[in-house]
Amino acid sequence: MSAPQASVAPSSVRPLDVRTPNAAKRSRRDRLVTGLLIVAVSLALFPIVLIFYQVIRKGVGAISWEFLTTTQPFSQRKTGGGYLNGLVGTFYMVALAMLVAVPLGVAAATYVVEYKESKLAPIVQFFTDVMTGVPSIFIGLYIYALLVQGSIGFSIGFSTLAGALALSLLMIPIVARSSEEVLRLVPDDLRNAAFGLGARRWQVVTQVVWPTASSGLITGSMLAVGRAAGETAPLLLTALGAFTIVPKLVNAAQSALPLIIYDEARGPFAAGQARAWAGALELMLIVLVVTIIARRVGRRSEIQQ
Amino acid sequence: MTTREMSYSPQGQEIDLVRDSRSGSHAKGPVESEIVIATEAMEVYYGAFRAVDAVTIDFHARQITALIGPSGCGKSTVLRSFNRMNDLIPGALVTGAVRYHGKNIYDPDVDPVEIRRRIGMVFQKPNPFPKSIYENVAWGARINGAGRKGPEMDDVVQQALERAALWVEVKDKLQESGYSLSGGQQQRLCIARAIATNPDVVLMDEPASALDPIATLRIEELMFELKKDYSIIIVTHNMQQAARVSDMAAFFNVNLDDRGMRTGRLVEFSPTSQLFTSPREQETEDYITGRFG
Repeated sequence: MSAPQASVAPSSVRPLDVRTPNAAKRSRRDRLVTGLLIVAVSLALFPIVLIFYQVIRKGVGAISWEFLTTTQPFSQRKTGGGYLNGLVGTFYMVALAMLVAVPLGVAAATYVVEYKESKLAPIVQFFTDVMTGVPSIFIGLYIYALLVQGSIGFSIGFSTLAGALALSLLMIPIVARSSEEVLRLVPDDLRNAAFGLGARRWQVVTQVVWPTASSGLITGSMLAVGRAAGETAPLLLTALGAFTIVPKLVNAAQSALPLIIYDEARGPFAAGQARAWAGALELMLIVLVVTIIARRVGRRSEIQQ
Repeated sequence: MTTREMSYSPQGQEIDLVRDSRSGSHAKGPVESEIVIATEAMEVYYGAFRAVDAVTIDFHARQITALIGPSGCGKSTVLRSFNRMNDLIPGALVTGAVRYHGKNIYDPDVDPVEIRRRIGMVFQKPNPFPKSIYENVAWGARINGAGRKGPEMDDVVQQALERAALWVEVKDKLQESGYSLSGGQQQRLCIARAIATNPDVVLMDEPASALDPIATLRIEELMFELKKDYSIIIVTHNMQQAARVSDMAAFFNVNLDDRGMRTGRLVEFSPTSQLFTSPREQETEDYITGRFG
């Protein structure tokens, strides 16, 4: 019964080397669409590549050991000096902002994901979404009115703390949104297993959900750090800028890399502009390194299963 | 169906599940031991939709009770009502009573967490934590506030793994991830994890359905060992498995209403030997002989 079938079947199968009339048309169309996509991607990448090229070309000429280790000269006209004051200010404020934003952002995301039966959870989520869209200059203006001018009742002046708080407001929704995504990826099987063993909800969250999601939570926080490190607008009205290294937390204006770059790049003097290019390169590298580390951490231990 | 066909042999030793009817052990058998869980007209709702119709069953200590029935008959829902896991599903509601040693676990003064510590659960898909093998077992014991550390905890872990027939295979790699084990080993790890908290009842929701036949056999052997100390309630869609392992069996069926909503209902609760050989209800007979489902 099977033998005749085996001998008949091949003759009814169209040989592989005979192309149907449509085949040529199909492959032409395929090449066309592929070509269009390559053009579109190139167009999108073109400005980015130009920016990188320009920053590296102008920055490499101006950056030096002196630039990295000395503070700004008092006049934009003078050559020499560097952006150490800005580097220290940026680290100082971003670190403080991280201390505020990461716990709050992760907490908000945890609340939204793990306590979704709460009536407050959708409201928290809504405001997180809204905060993501708030222009960063508004955040600066808000902290300016509240804490720098002191409409809250006391004033902390232009200061490290004011700048850090502005940056933290910017970071919270970023941390919250990315943490939310990651927490949702934790399989419900694990939550059920933990509850089934008689774990209380806080134990499930702190001992099962967070450890499982930890690498993703770190990645989200690092990306928010990278974003905050490059922000200028929230700092204009809060940190203001300074020529020296400022260790004080309140009532002393603080410097930051993007602030000085903004300042000196706008100025009319070649020496200042050269420093601004070097600063841009420095900032770009810092953000790049932070981003790469964040991605690495994320990839190192993906959620299993 | 003869006794021979229903027999089962863990470790090569023949144990007839369907005991000699002359001894009468099965006719009254289960009734002798104390009742651990008793449901009284228990119904489960998801929102306004009634998922399970009035269930009244007594579960006895140190026995394996199987819940069987076609898909969607609510057997898993019933099982999850016994340790209040349904509480985790928004909108789920249980009415009637589920008495655990006489106390209704749905009384307002009952802490569901306390219930889950006494009534452990093993799930369909092996779900070890992304922790080491040791930590998987120790975690449950630790959160139960035993406060045991170091060598004491080591003993707890070893005992649980030994009882779950996994110790020999993992004793040299306790610090490796739970995920490094095979599916069947992972499920035994989950069983070890469940019994490390020292429960009284173990609920198993199709514990072998994701496993190959050999791993399934090992889980079944393990259940025979465990029933010396624990009461086990198992949901299974595998009738042979129910026939092999259980002392008592409950058959659930599903009613479709005119809107296509499925409501599960207990049809028959009998000693397993009776349910599979001379069921009381025609519906049961139709199901077990494969006439539907």
